[in-house]
Amino acid sequence: MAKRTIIPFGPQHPVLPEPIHLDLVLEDETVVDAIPSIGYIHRGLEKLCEIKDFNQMVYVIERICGICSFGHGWGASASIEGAMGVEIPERAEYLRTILHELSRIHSHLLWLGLMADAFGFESLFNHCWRVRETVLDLFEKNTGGRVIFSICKAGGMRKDISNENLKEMADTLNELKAEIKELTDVFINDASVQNRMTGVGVLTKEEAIELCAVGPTVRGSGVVQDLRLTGNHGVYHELGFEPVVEEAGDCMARTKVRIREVFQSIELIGKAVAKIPDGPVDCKVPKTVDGEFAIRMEQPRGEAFYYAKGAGTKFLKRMRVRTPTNINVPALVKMLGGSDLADVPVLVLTIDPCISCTER
Amino acid sequence: MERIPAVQNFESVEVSDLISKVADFKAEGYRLVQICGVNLDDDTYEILYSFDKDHVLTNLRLDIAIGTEVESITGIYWAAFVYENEVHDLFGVKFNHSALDYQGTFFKISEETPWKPKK
Amino acid sequence: MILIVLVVAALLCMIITDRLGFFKFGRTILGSISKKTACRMYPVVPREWQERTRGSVSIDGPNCIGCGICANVCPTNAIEVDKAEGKWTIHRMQCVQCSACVDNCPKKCLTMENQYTIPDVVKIVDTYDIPAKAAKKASDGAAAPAETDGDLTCADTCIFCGLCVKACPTDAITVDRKEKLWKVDTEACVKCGACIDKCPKKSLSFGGTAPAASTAPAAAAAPVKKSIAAVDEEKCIYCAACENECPEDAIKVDGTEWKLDEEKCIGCEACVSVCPTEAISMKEV
Repeated sequence: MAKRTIIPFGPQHPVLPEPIHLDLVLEDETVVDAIPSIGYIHRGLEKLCEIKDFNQMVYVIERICGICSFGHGWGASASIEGAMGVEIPERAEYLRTILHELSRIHSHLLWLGLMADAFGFESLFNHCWRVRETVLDLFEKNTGGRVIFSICKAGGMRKDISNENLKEMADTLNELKAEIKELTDVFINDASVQNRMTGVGVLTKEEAIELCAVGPTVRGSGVVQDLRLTGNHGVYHELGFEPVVEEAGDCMARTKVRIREVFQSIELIGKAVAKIPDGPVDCKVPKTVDGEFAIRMEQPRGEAFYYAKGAGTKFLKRMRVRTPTNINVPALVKMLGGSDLADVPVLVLTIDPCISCTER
Repeated sequence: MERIPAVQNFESVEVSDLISKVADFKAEGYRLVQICGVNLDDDTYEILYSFDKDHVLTNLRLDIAIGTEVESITGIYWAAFVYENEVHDLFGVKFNHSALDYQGTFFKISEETPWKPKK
Repeated sequence: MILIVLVVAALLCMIITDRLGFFKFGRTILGSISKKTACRMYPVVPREWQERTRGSVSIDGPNCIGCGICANVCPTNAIEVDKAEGKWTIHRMQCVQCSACVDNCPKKCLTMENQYTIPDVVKIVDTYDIPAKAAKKASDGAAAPAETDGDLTCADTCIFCGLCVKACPTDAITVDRKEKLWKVDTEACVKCGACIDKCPKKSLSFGGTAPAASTAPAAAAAPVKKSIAAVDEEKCIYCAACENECPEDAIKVDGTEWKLDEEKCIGCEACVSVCPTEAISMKEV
């Protein structure tokens, strides 16, 4: 038997400025086992529901993550609305869908850049983030924030976005398509990129289901699992939504899922902008929350779970958020087994980890 | 516009039935979505197990008195270790026969079981 | 000559590597040489802020009534209001620019500027002067404006519609229509005046002389129903704004039908004031 070595990876690592620690058990250069360890920055945001009322809780939950902050704000609002039994106006649902898809584009472009950085393709990283800047500018123009939007509230949206601005957003994104295509072609066709990703970290369909993985991680393994199909949140069922699925199950497949989702999101925004009805964007909500409600959202990184339990006052008894990275960690551990040490950074990034999300 | 509200499906379960119930779910092809602890009052916890099949959510509600030990489901769903360790570290619920037990070191927090009610 | 050879050689290399599947990124890189830089030369070229950018909160001090709602809704406890001293304080580092205070200010004296505060090496705390108000029990409140002098009172024209309860940001008012009871919790009342603006009968005032129905069920003041709402169907756009506003749920708007439950209508005229097309008027019974 080869001699075993344990190499610590993180919580401070050049490729991933996020606090996850992995104990990698190596035989020669091959990883045979990995023990994940998180919890360096547990913030206890869920517990804040005891001293912050439900309106303030939406702002708090939004700050769980800087990338999918809109999705978190929406999830928190939707679970509170569900517990109250409030139905929000149609235009608000459309606006939420549009902004959510916009943040998916922003998240995936960010991820593509980080992925390029993980295998040492610095200039590709810079260009991905240059394109992403346009999306952030759209966010700032329409919501007032580049990262934290604070536009969602229990009962709808805090501000309306005018139809002209929505049209302009769709046009800008259409113009952006060519630039994104130029970059994503490099990911798909360049031989040096393929050497780092094709056949690396294969997660079979059975394993993906067994490990309860979510999001692009599981869709890259050929499993049709996308919460947007349910129509429980947003207006996806009105826009003719088809989930993006790739069969191969390796890093390349997961990258392709995300690349195709970027273009799909642009299409969805275009369709939503064409169909959005006029009307109010918010409705009155009761001053207290009673009852409980669980809802799941398809976020850029995968399924997120929100659970609100009211106590008959303006404070919630429990606000639970289960973020996608939380449940993709077991899948990551599985992928790491049998991989090369040099591939570990690529594999860690392939699940699109957001450790700060996980440590609510 | 036609809305499809999220199905709210909550079933109560006893500590003794938990493992057989979860094993049934696994056999029927359910996916584990999450486990979360809720502090009901000074004496009771509620542990919510959520499962998904074909995008429909089913929740098992387990009401336990503080101090009750619960059988771990990591033998059935290995991925449950992230939640069980979380509930253990924050609420102090003990899970027996866990496949991957961090013994309170999963979360590096300054005080032990911060979300357990202080009497 | 040598230069030309080198350039040709470089181009050849590129074409060959591109064919082999390497250097797919070459075209993008060469293309960006001729383009303008993507970055802005920051301090020389300033950033242009969007109209909606949430930069920093500013206050129009003289208009502030020190109600403290902004401090209550702030999710990060960044705002402190000292009514007695007349000070409004914001901890700039703590503020997360969520704009909740701006949305909830009953006097609209807070605004969200689209400029950020200037970076500094210490945590900035800004304090602004607002009209000082003597503590509740103290009698010599010199600076207190006349209109907010004294507790909130309700005159006997009250019809107990309950719109003031809905408007109150602090849940200080209770109204019971059956018992003909109107009560204000003077401890909770912040004297923002939101209820006064909302009252359809203009019965509310600060420090009014009318003892109001607050203490005893005023038999004499029992509202006599004089009029009920009526809609002009030519003007009505069936937006249901009146349905939402009606304190008694007397109005139902369904598709292109406007229905009034005449028994329930209390003649408060709340629907008249919210109607965007002025389609509703009051008619005598």
